[in-house]
Amino acid sequence: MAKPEDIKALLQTLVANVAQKPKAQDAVKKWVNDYYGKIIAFKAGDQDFFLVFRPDGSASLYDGEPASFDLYIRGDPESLLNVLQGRARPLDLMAKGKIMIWGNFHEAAGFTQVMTAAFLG
Amino acid sequence: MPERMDFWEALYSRRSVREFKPDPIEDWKLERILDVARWAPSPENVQNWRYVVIKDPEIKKLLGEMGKVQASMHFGEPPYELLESRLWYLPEEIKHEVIEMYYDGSLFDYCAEAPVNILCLCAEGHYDYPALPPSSWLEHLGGTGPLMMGILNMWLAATALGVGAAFNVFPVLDMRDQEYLSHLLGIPHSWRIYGVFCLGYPAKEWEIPPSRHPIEAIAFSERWGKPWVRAELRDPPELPDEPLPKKDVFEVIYERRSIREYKLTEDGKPVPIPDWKIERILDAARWTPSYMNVQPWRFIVVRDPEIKEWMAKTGVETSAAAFGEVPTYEFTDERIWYLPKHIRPGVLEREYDGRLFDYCGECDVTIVCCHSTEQHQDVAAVPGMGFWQDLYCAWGPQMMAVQAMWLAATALNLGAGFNTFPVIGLGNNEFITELLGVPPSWRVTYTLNIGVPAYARMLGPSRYPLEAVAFVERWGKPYIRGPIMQE
Repeated sequence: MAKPEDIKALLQTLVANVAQKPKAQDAVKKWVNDYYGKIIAFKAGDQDFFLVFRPDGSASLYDGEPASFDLYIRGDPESLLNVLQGRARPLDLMAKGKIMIWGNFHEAAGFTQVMTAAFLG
Repeated sequence: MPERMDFWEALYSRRSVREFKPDPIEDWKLERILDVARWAPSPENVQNWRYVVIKDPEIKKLLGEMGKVQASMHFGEPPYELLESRLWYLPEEIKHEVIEMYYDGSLFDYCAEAPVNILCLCAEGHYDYPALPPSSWLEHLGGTGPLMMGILNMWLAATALGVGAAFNVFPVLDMRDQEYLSHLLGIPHSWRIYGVFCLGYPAKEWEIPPSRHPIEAIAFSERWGKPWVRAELRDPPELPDEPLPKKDVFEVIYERRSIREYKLTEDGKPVPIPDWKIERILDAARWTPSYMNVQPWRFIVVRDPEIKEWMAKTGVETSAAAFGEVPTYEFTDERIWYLPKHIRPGVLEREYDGRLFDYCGECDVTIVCCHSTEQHQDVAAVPGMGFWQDLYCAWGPQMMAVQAMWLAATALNLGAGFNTFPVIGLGNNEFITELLGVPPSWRVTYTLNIGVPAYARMLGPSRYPLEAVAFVERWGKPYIRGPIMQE
């Protein structure tokens, strides 16, 4: 079974990959577009983290809850890991009550593009 | 035992639930939901709200049919593309099915299947306080605004109790339907039904939330057009310096007060509030209900001492002029009957000379609230609705957003006070509109002032008992609270 630390480790890898891969940075820039940035928050079990994506293509990971978010994904670590690794569809897990989405669901599409570029690009 | 939910959880989890299980709602839950409506803000404590609880299947069916017919008339008219663009945030796989339900009105027939319908009413002439001249502004401020704030309270309470809810205006949009319903339910002509709040256990585990504009698009710093950039996105980022206080949503609703005295530093300046807390408060506004997701609200965060000073002075002048007009001292005294006798003369004096409304200068932040005028409400679904369009597309969502910010401030252990006096009165509105650079298509409506309270305000205004403001099945038959009924 996944633990909250596994989610954090995955997000840390994402941040590191974004810093190294120009394609991932481009995906961030394209997603952020002319906004000031995007904030994606996670609650994995009892732990909170959030990612900040900036217009320059960079990404950072922080502990805790942000004061405002674009998208907030909450659930048990196993379900979250399945979503982040593309093994489960968010809508299916939402229907089963395994995860809960707060905020702008459409941001998941841009975030997925960044994940894809960071891990597979 | 009542269930508990953190305020923020209730705020972010709240959805418009339009599909319900047939299971009835427990009486104690319904009572808790109704009760919080009484604790919305009410100017001069007029409590211009009444609720009629409907469980009668025949009446619910009628409301469902009226809702469907009106919705199909409104949504059947505009081009498909317009509706589609409004719902851009929905996943493709469900979007077209939802649009069909708009067109045939079936998205709004849910009154019939919701176990409980609550008719929400207020009266035009009930706001008999002569401090302000009658106008649609006053009608919204003294009537529909507080009603909408009470509905938001009920919505948050329902969410915390696991009950789904949605607010449906379509059954009462046509004045002929209004009249028929009023006749049927014995509602006097002086009271008008503004919508139906439907309750029931959700049929689905989840609802996709509507996407909302980011804070930078709806909040400005000091003047219109200069975005209030989220603290996390600044360079360097400013992160919350303490964990978010967690408070039960019911506690927050019952503890909310109008705070008019704020703590000052030794050199007489307002005690500063960290930006992340202001951000949280602004964020609360984003997640309030918005008809067709129009989001007709904008906020200007003002800390400039000169502007705040001007607003404080104007607040005093306008309120002194308004309250000075009141015919007799006794009239005003009677309004605050619930206050202990020994403090009433002091409060009255401060109302008469306007000092009760001078607090824009003392608080750290004044949030100037604006809502769109008709131009922004390009929802073709409600052409020519006039007052109703203004209510559902502008005043209503705006007042709910203000209530959400007020509750958020309370949840953060801050004080907030709602003050319209600085931005009304001859020339004041035009002046502040120009000073802050607000375009003519947006209307400056009121201020919400945030600061650290000078002291904990324990005493709230007394409210009528539930039996006086809520009825069962028809007007005049009181909703008697469970414990009283058992005795």
